[in-house]
Amino acid sequence: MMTHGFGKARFEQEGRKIRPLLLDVAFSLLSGAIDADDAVQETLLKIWCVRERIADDTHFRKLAMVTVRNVCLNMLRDMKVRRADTLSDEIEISGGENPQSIMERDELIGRVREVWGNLPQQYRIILNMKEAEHLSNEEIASLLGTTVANVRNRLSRARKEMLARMGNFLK
Amino acid sequence: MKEEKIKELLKRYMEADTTPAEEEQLRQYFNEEDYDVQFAQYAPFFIAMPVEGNALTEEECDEILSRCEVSQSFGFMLRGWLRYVAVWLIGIALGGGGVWLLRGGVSPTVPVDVQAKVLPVVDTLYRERVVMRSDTVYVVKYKSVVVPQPTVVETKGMQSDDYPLELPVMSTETMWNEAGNVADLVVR
Repeated sequence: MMTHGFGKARFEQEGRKIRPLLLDVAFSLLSGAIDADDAVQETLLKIWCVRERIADDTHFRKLAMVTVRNVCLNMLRDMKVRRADTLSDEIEISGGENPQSIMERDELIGRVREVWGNLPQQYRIILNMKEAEHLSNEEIASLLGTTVANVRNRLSRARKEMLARMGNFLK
Repeated sequence: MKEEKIKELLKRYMEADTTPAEEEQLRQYFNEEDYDVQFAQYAPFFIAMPVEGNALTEEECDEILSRCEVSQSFGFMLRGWLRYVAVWLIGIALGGGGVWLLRGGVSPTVPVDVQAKVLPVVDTLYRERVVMRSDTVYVVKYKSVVVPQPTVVETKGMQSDDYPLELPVMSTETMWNEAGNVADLVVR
């Protein structure tokens, strides 16, 4: 399929237009059980990853509407099985009683790739936006139609989740 | 770099509170120096992150896009129905009495002698209600047409009048009343 793709500016513009409608859908589906804003951000994150394959504004809007619906339904299903976020707000930076040895770089890269592959999509996407696409927190906030504080919170959760999973892996 | 400084930077890094310059400092520390083993758990962030062009695999992207193609076909069908309604209303305005819908598979409308004020359908609402039973989530869908001012719309043998604001286009027994296990519908 021939597509023109969506550049950053166009994505931001269309995202800003459709965001109120997405919030509407999310509110009605989630009934306040889960933060609808979270659902909308996750929707826009997923669409960001496929922006190169979006044909036009109509396609963008339809994709956004379908995706937010599926994101909300996923959240409702996961509510029952989602474990409580046990990560503490304050990370204790210390060596601990059994400091881990330094792994060979190649081995480390291999292990990390495995952890990365199992990370939830929304965490992978936002980490990639920072590390690979070199977007600032302000730019990400603008793309998602949210605040910088919210982006920092989301990014922090992603890093902590990755740390926790790698911690289990590397022990 | 001093241990305390690294500790402080790492703490702020995990809170996503570091500047690009500070993150670059951490990157240099873990890549160029023999970093302290006590910080080994943070090394992957700076030397081993598998950052590529896209965070999602090709299959994951295909899955996201494929849902929209399904909906697009629904959308196309729905727009077809709206066109039927619009054509019918225009037919009344022209004083032709009845407009026969010629698309295959659609039954013709009954001629109406009422001179209706013709107005375009301005919006189509798709409502969904989530009903949870035990571990199963059901999605019940409704579709309705919004008209801004009084008009007469005949659908599926039903005739509505007296200034409807929101009209059901189809009865709930037809395709828009879907209740099924959403496990097949949800994208992970």
